[in-house]
Amino acid sequence: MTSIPLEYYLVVAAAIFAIGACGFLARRNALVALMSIELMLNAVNVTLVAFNRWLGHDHTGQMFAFFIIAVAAAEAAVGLAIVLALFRLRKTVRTDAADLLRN
Amino acid sequence: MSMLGPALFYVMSALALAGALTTVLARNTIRSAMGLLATIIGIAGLYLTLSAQLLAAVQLIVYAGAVVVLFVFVIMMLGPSGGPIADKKTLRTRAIGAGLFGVGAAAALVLAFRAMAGLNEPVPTMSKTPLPKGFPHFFDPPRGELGTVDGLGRALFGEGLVAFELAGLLLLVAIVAVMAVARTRKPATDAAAAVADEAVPQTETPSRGETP
Repeated sequence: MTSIPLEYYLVVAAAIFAIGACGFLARRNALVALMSIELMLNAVNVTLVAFNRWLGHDHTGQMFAFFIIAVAAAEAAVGLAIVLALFRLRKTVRTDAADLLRN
Repeated sequence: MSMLGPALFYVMSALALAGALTTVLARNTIRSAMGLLATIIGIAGLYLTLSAQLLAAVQLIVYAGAVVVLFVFVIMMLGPSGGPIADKKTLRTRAIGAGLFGVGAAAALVLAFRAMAGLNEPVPTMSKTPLPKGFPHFFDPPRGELGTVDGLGRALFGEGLVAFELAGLLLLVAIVAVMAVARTRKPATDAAAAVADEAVPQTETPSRGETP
């Protein structure tokens, strides 16, 4: 019987997390950095739901994923507002243009 | 479930991985947003195979319906000047950082695969406590008691009630913060200037009459 072990989900989630982290570290576009954060949060959600499906007796993992979705939505909204403010200030969305606090 | 579940898993994880790669690698920001959308749809499909139907729906509504649309709005607002700029200056340090992380992630993947290959044998080095007796390694029939609106709703409004209310408070605070941060100060000053312009002739005409 063809069936999917738990570890496949963990591997997919780890790969998405790694891609998101690499993007966050490598890209200097603030919008792409925010999207990479969303990727990482989604990968963590997959891990939580997969563990809940295999090991859980109640909805704790799915509840955590639910709250992470709420926090991610708030984070995206605030982050995009900051990107807008940065663009008004510097006419660019590159993260290395945000150097007002340097020295 | 014997065929559909695995097929859904492979298709959806391929979609999610391809979308994640597109998000990170695309030069065009709109393409990045579309890659994020593909990832979100793929992960919603993965939730379906994981007996989390309500979460799949919430994922589509919140992420695909709100977050990605917000991203696209901002990209459209910023216009072409917010688009790709060749950043050569810090290329080397960024490549080193991302490369280090990529090597670490690849090592972690290899470790995960090795652990997976050795799962059916007793692995004394992995952990002291063995896995539970009934630990299901495989995709057995879906757990109908998980992931329904009824079950997750009861859990959210039962043991998770305080956290649920706090999440609502967090969203309210986020809305206020977004309005405070993204508010442009131009119209406010313009309105103040208009008020001042209206007030100026009334105050200046007597003063102008007095000064001669």
